[in-house]
Amino acid sequence: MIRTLGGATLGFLLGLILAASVNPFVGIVGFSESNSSIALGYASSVNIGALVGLATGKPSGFANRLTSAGVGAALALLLTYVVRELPLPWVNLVWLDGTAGPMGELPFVLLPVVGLILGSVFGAARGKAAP
Amino acid sequence: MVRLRAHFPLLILVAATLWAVGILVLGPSFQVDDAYIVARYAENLVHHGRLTWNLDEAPVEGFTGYSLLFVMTIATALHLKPLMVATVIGIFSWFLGARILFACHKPLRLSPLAGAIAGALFLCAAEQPTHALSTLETELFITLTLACAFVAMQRSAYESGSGALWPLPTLSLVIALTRPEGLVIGAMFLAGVLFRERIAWRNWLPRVLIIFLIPFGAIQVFRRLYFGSFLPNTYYAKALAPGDTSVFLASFSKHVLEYLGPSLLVLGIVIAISRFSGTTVPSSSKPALEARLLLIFGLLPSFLALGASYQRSDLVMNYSDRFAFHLFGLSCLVVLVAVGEVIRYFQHLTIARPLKSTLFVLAGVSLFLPFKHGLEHVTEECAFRRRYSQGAQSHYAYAADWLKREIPPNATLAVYPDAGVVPYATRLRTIDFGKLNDVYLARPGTTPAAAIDYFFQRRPDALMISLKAGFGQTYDKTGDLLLADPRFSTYRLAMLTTNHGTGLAVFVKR
Repeated sequence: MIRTLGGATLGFLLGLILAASVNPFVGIVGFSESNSSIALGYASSVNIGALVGLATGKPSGFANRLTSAGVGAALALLLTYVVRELPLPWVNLVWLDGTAGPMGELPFVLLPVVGLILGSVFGAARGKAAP
Repeated sequence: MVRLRAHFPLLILVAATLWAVGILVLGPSFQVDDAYIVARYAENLVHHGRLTWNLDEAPVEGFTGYSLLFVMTIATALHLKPLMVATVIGIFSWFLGARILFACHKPLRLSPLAGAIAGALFLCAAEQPTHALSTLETELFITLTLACAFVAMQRSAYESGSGALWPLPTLSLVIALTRPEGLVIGAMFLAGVLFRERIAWRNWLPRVLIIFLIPFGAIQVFRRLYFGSFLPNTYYAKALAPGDTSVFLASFSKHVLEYLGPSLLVLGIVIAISRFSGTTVPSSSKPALEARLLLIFGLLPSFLALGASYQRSDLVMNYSDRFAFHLFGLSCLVVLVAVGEVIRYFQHLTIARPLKSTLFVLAGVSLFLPFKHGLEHVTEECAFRRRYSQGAQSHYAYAADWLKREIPPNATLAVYPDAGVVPYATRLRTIDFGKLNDVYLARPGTTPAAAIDYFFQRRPDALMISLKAGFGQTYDKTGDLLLADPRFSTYRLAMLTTNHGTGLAVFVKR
């Protein structure tokens, strides 16, 4: 439980930091502004996944932290795709970062959520035996 | 649990079938104007013994394939409504296609669940009921592509030259006669099988010759002698027309992103994770690998050839992404392989349970996304079918009645551009400015000036022309120029129908 919470906190904070970093480069509608901002959104998520995989330690079944980072990156890519494709509600974060749009497109929603989910999963996976 | 696992694919297919039946029963009916063109040819053949558009003119091949013509000819000869029979064929093809798609998991040695997911996608795609009801050959063609692939892949279970050899040449012939591009698909699957079984060429040769090559060659000779060309006039009307050539690319990209993208992405991710985790997945059996090779051999050239052909054509009547949908059956086969491989890799994946569970949920949601797209577009498709049917009723049915009352039966009518309902219902001699049934307009006379000169050279007794929203413009620039031409002052507006901002005008000679 502590590992899960620790991983979630770490992932969430990483997401917030990365969101603050990429926010100046996206438009008012977030990552859906242009093809380059969509690519930026995916790249940011993949980075978070890789960092979470790297930082939360080596779960059972992986040879080393690098392979764990690879799995984190792959899961982050799929999670981002799913979040962007699902019909999630619109939110207005103009007061926070000047963006408004579907939840899956806003840096301050997407990246912390990806970090939180993957952090929890990798935290929970630490020390667990593979089935 | 074991029983649920065994019946789960069946449950998915039953649910998808019920959904499809519900859409058909509750949704609006739909008949594409172009289908009446084929019905007119069938009627001329049955009642006058001539396969031609206008009985007193040189034959022109204004229909895309012979399969639909054959069906409509039989229906007309039996005094059945040809379009009703074509609708039945379309709906039957739709459900048969889903059944064949499901069965494809067997030669590929993949999970029945993968077959069920692909079959369900085939039934739930929002565009499918539109194509099944359209009375054109679209759905039949899609199902024939699947049948060719299935029969070709099934050969992987047989020794070279053993088993029934006639189905694949027969299907190749039927698909080649359904649409010209079917020749590529049928021939590629047949070539793949022949290459695999080259050692038994003595068994194959007579069957391929008698069932496929000689009948197809005979039809080509007939085409050349009777119509003067190896390809139908519809091909030239589209391939040589100066239209928007990016239409196919746009609709095919949408098709790939919505229906193919999710399963391919999930497959890539699952393979990547299994590599990272060092999972060893046992390789597929030899027949399964051969079936996949045959599929790739037939599928890739088909995608490339059809894509290249459509990309350089002016795709008129591309409703519900019709031309990209000709590849939908093969796309669903790719989905089947991708989902089957995802299941196979996932079963052997040795990673911690929280990670595996997360991957399972994300993969499940991703594979649901094509269904979400399909379900989202259902209302859009129903609205399109309703609007089209209302338009046909208020414009074409009314115009046909008016023309039958007001124009003598030996008059000549020019239609711009839709040559379906009105020429079929009025039986008038018709000049088709939609180009499908006019050799001159499809080939040498492709420029606006040539088309306008052709009109005044032929001087039809009446002109029926479609008007765009606002009635300030006709169907296209050539139509605008035709009405603005000083020579057109010899015609007067005799009838005008309007409905939801679109119109149909009939001009007659003063």
